[in-house]
Amino acid sequence: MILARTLVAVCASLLGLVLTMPLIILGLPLWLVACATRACGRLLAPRTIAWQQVMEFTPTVGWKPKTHLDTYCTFAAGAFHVKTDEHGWRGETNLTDSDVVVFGDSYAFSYGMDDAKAFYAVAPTGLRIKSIGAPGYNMVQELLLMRHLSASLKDKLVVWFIYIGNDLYDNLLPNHGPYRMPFVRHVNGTGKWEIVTRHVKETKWLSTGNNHQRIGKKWSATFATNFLSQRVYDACEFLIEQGKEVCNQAGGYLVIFAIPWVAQLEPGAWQRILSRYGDVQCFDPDLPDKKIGEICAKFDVPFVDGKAYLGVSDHIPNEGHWNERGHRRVGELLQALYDKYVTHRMVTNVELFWRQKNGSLRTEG
Amino acid sequence: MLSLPSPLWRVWLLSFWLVISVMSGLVLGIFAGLCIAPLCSVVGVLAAPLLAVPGLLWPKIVMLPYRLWNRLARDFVRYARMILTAICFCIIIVVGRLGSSMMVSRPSAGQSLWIPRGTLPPMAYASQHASVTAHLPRQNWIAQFFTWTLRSGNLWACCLLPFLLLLALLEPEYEPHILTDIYTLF
Repeated sequence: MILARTLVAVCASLLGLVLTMPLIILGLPLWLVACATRACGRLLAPRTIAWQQVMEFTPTVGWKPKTHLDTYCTFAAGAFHVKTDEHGWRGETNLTDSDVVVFGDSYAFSYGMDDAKAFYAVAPTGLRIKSIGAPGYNMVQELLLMRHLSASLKDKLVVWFIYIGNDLYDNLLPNHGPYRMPFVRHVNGTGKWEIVTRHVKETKWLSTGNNHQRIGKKWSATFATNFLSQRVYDACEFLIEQGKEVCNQAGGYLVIFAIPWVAQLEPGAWQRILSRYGDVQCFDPDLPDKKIGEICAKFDVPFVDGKAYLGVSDHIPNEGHWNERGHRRVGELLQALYDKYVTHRMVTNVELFWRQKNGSLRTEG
Repeated sequence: MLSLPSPLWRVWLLSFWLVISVMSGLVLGIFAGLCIAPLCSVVGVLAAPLLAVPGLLWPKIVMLPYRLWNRLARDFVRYARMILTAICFCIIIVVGRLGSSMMVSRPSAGQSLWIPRGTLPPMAYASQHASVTAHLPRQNWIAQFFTWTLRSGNLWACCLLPFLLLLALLEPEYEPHILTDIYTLF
């Protein structure tokens, strides 16, 4: 029986091999090209490290990039060259010598872009820009860094990148996945806000939240009008007020730049994504900019709506961070802001000084 | 593993174009050598760098051919796997028609065939069958397959091996998940 079964199996498999021959002949060139491409690519590609090896724990703020890095990092759309200074921040310029200081998250970190092509390296007139940021930062972390570095902000343009996609909601959260981060909360019974950092440690935050639910709440808090969005924008107002205070005391000029989420720029994507979380009519893509604009007007802080400067073609497809063109546009924007709020102000101040001096001389004469 | 790597890095575009240029030069050279004159195979040597230069200087022009090639490869893999799986099932059915039996373990008196379910490490929950996936190195599967055919008296199943090897070759490559975590503390 076993012998009979084996003989039949051999005959059937021989017939099967004959039927398989065309597949082998057609598949051989595809296999050769795939193998050769991978082998050649491994020879040409720089040595990369996984993304999570770039960051390290730091007290109070939670995490920051490692110092003295010079490596390539993989990300969803390829790999990019990362170099950090002695403090862990990207860019050749040091903070003391800079004209512009940018605070933000992965956009300030220039995630996905080589140093040579990032916005801090491509400003039109060689403006010296120092970028202080790391992926995943919320506005609370950025404010803490602003306070920590305030001594270096005198007479500089301080641009605060607020990424609409997650910064506003993340300000209320004590964690980013398993990583602890500072957040803001109401002080019971007073209506005031406080920054909470005492839970920020190296140990893991045991997060059991459902990611889909959290994303739904995030969009609802950012783009809809409800109790949660009221809290989100109240928190944002508190943080911007604090930032303005830090810059005023330091002698810096604060400007807020709202970075759009790519879906806000593309009606089809907006419809497709938000329809999973409720009635799309309830979500307003312009709400964050309106609200932040009102907050900035209240504290006399210049506000830049990123949707007016950036389009879909300025972003890496299927990834969302800026591409080369996007970084160039941001570099040009920072130059324009510096000219408007620092150079012009300095010229105005000098003019005022001479007018006063001439006026006082005439008075004395 | 017939598909090209993704995501679309510049490095993959350059290496794909280099490979295509060299292979096209080779094919052209062999064709010219066979059909015209053996000396004409030099054409292939000249053609390869000429083909390579545009792609190396402007990698963006390679994106469309790269995507088309990958789509072709993925479609081929899908249909090829279907055909190979069908051939395997046909062989099994043909052999099975000769008669088969199911061997059932017979417990001793007072012994149960139930296997107690212990706690698994978190990573094991990708598969609920810990006894099967616990320590199963992929590269030794052929040896384990042979061992099974001998122990279970199913030596005829060795005839499936060429097709299983082809199916393994056509298995989509595991693309490492790009982690969104921040740092490697844990």
